[in-house]
Amino acid sequence: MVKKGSRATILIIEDEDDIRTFASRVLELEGYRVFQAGDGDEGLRLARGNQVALVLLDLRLPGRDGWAVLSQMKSDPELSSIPVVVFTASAATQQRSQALAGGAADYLVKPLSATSLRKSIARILR
Amino acid sequence: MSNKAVRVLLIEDNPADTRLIREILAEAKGSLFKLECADRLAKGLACLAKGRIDVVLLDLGLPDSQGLSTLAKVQAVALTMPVVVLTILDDEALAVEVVQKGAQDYLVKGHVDSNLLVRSIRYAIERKRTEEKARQLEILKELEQVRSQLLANVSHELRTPLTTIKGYSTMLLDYDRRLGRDEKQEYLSAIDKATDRMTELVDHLLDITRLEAGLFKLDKVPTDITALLQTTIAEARLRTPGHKIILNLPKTALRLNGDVRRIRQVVDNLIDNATKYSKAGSTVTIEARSQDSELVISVADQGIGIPRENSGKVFDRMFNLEHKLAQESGGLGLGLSLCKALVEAHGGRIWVKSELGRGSVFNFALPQEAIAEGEAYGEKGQQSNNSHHRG
Repeated sequence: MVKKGSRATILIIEDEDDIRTFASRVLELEGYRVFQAGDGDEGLRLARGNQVALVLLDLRLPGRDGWAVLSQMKSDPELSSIPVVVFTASAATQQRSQALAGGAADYLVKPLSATSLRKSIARILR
Repeated sequence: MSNKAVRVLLIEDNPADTRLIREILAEAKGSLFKLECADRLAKGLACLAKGRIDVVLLDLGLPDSQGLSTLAKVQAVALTMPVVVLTILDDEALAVEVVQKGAQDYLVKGHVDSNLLVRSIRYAIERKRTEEKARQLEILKELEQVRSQLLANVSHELRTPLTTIKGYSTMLLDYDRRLGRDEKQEYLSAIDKATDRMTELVDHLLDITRLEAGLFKLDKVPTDITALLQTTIAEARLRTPGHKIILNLPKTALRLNGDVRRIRQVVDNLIDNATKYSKAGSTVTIEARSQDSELVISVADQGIGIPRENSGKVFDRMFNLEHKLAQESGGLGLGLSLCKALVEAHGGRIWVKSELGRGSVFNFALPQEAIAEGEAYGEKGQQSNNSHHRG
């Protein structure tokens, strides 16, 4: 667990309320500071100036989708070093390779247990 | 090719031309032809309706039909029939046009000899056969696309509630002692709702599959549409309290023969769409009226509307499935194509009028077959002697 005062900030970009609540609550219980966004534009706005250590990103979003958010982040000098973990309902291997090639740090397929989510995030922020 | 006689239908009003073709075909060596003649398009179409024709020789200028529409009328009754068009003039432009419109070949009258005619008939039959194969292949390809897209959507739509169930249940297990009572209740109720959503999806999927397999039967009974709409709207108001849902009904009772459950499904679907694509606080208006022996039901919203280029496609299966990918979740993306299938199964039609940014009006019309006076409606099993429309 991360010590208080030095806890890392995670931004969750996810349009499904239940799934966003699940991920936020697990990561809060694990000691992270969590920001939540329901769409891509809000996510990109929150990604700036908040010392975000990691972004958990859904791909299918209303408006600017997860793919656009990922490429925007990776081409922006201010944001490009933030690891992006894709969290999606699409299990297609082609999409996984595409996301990893596009700069994603990991590709998590829904559904996911609290333990798997916790471990994946911890591995990247270690 | 087999030695069976080729059955030729000549649709031609000029007796001299008919006589010439009859002579040529009778004398053709190596090929056996059986000729039927029609001097009016109507007679030709009647002959086609009976079947037993392999190829049509068609004059476009007939007493009861002229020009390219003659070809279209033949195609309308016999889509897979090879057609050779007979023209008077050696008109290159017309020739190209008839072939583009689906004729297999054309011949210029007065320049027809035995070799040319026999070759043209053989060619038309073989060419049509190849075209048919290609067309069938296209249909199969499209079906395959629909299937794989549907599968992708089903997989996505099932994963969303599954994620809620898996996420919250493992959270409850892993952090049991650190979660408050209210919080636990909240997660359990979200799990409960997610299982409902999955059940709905499975039912929906079964409906679609049944429709496709032709296993779909309507259970038509005399139905009080006024009462049906009142119940449907009352439930919709509970479901989406954020919208103003208004019901406008005529004073006289509306009745028709229909499948109560299916008509409700269509109305529910249209109302849910209306609320989904319009802001909370806006109005959704449902109207019903009798008009020209049809019962017309409309659902109007003040939502985002549909771009003009898409308004013709919203009932299309593939369009719905693909469009679904770009929008938020909540269904397989087949709601409107399912509505269309259900309305058409009743012998009705469905259409939309929409203005971008101002809203959409979805309408459907169901035929109002005569319901015998005095017949008890909405009560199964009470059939009067005049009743002729059940089943």
